[in-house]
Amino acid sequence: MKAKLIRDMDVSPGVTPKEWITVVNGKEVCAAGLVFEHPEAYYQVLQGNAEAVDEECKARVSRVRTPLQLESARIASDELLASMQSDGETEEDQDEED
Amino acid sequence: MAKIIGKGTIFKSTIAAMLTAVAQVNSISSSGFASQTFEGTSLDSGVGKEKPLTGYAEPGTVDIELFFDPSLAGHQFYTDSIVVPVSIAHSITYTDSTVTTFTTTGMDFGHTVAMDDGVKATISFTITGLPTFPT
Repeated sequence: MKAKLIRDMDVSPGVTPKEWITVVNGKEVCAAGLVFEHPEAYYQVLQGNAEAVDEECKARVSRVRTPLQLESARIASDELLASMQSDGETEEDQDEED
Repeated sequence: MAKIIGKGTIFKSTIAAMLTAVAQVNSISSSGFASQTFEGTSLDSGVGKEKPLTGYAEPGTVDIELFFDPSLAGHQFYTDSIVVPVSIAHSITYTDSTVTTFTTTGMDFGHTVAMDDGVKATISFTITGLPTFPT
């Protein structure tokens, strides 16, 4: 799963592979433009720190919940609740009529 | 000598092998980082009880509280890391640019939805090995 950094990122000592590291102004960083491969690369894409560069990463990003998806789920939930309430009111009206 | 402020302190966790700032953190605290001793007092000891060093140190825990956003990748990373347990390297960057680093294994996540507050999560990390403080 590949992604490309769009901004410099801090190195995690002992974790970041050495080949990812460059020195910018005396500081070790993963520099913008670095294409890196990692099973969790999609997290950096979702964080807005990288862009997906292979289909696997794009597909993984698309499967993760986005704010828009959550909003759609909330609207669907509200509609369902409203329809349940209106059904309940209709039944009560019928009970009163009876 | 300086009195550094909390505002602007950055909590970072290793996401996809890079230290990544975690958003919406509102407090960071640690406890239990201690040199370990054992009870060394015997019947022929003097008045003062003896607490010799074992030669080990307890790394302790780090707790953070944040305004929880379930759709934020950095927050999902924590809950995902419980489902698929992993060790995580973290850092705390203070406003004077000094850094504390540590690696955690266990994690305890809980969140609170309260009527008069934002949705918050508290995460407790169990440190493994020794945290690195500026010296």
